[in-house]
Amino acid sequence: MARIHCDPSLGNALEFEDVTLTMPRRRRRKGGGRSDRLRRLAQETSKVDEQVYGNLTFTVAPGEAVALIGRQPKDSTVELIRLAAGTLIPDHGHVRRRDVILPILRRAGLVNAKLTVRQNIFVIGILLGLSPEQINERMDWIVTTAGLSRALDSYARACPPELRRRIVWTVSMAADAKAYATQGSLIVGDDSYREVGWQHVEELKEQGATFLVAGQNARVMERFCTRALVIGDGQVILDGTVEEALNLVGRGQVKEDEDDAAEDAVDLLDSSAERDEWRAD
Amino acid sequence: MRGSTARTPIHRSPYCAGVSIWRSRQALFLLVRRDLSQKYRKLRLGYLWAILEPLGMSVTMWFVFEILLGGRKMGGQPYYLFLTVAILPWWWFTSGISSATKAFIGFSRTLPVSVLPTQFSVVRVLITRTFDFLFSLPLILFAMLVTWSFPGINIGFFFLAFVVQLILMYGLSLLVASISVLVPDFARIVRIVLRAAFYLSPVLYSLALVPESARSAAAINPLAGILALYRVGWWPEEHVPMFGYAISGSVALICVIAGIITFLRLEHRILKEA
Repeated sequence: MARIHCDPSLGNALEFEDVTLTMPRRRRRKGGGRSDRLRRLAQETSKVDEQVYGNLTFTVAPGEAVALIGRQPKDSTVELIRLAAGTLIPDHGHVRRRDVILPILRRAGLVNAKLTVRQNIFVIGILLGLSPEQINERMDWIVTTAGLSRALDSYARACPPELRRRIVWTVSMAADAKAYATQGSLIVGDDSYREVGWQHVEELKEQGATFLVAGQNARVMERFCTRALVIGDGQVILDGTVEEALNLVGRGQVKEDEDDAAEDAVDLLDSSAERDEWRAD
Repeated sequence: MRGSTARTPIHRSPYCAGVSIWRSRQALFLLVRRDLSQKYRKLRLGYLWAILEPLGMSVTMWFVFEILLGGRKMGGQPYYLFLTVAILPWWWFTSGISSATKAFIGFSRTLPVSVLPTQFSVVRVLITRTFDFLFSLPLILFAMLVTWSFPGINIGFFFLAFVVQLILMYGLSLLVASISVLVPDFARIVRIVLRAAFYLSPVLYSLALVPESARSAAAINPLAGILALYRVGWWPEEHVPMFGYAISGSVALICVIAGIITFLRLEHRILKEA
């Protein structure tokens, strides 16, 4: 099994070598009784392993901004982002990275409604590897950039989804990584905030940060990315400019990711450990 | 304002995981502190409950086995102290392992976005439980004052037992936490095993009372050796023969290694489930 680690001596920012990944997918089911019996008769299983990537090989040089585009809606790029960041381990092959690659996934649930905005900033910061002191140090920057001055000590449940996205984005950017793997979260927010975002990420790119960009619309990718990879049937089917990729896939296909609003809040703080405890008799 | 800093790299090998857990220790202790305060905040008596719960249990056990069924001596005297010294570590063990079944499940949403080591949540649960145990230790002092019996020089073994139990629990927590992600039924199995282990471990009784023929079988339980070590400070005769310690110790070691290997083998599947 391939283990994932950072290798400072690596020439590239990221290397994928023969990466194969299968993910368990559960089929959603409706009905019971009769359809259940039919399923059993047809020997259908409810949990199937689906191959997401097969023998995927590519490298990303430092300072590149690579757009990851799925050929068809079924060609998922989320797992690619997670593999790059190391929050997934491939079944075969190796993923090597020079520095920490920060995963920034678009998740509405990353902000916990039960906590105040300030507490949320701490929780998200800790997840992204910041120490409490570093978070305190950067609090001012986070507050001004995300425009939180009034909402800082109110509960996050009062925050509109718009603001929640901004909080996650700003804390991620405050983590100061040399490489980012983003899924629908390179540029977030309404028009005025997007400008702030653009300024910041372009500044980072100039300073030599590496970006993997997935789940953004064609305009964002055209403006920001220097290279594009099109993924089809688990393989890289095109490695070229963003324009070539968009011509192949079709501009309309490349959409911005929606939040999965149904997701529960992240429970880093509210551990379930103390619930239904069992005692020795 | 935002200077560059050395950040926690993502490491997956056991040594590197240890290093990166050490680096994220501030975050770890912040969360442990919050877990503890969360647990006791709503209660009027607050931290006293860390003592009151095991106190209730030990008094009940003492009443049943000393007063009601007192005909046959089950362990060292005074029995109340004998019971308390073992019940606290047992409590720590059972609550730690049973909450480890939920360690990954409870935090599964954070795994895709977290650069902390995967083991982080298991270590966090373990440390929270360890603090619970440390908070309950004054109960032993209380029992010593009530029964007016004090330990000899052998009390040093108490700390040895603490360390051994901590290591054992780390391995078992990893084992239990990893398997329960993939097999939801496993948490229930753990519950049954823990309940059985309460009677199979010499908590209520002394290993010396077990017939000679069955004693080495009883020593397979790593807790037998550990509980004996906790007790020798007061009752030097509780020392298990060297052979018994060897069996207990090697079983504990096997548990720890099995836990770490299981976790490493299953880690990629745990991450996929998140």
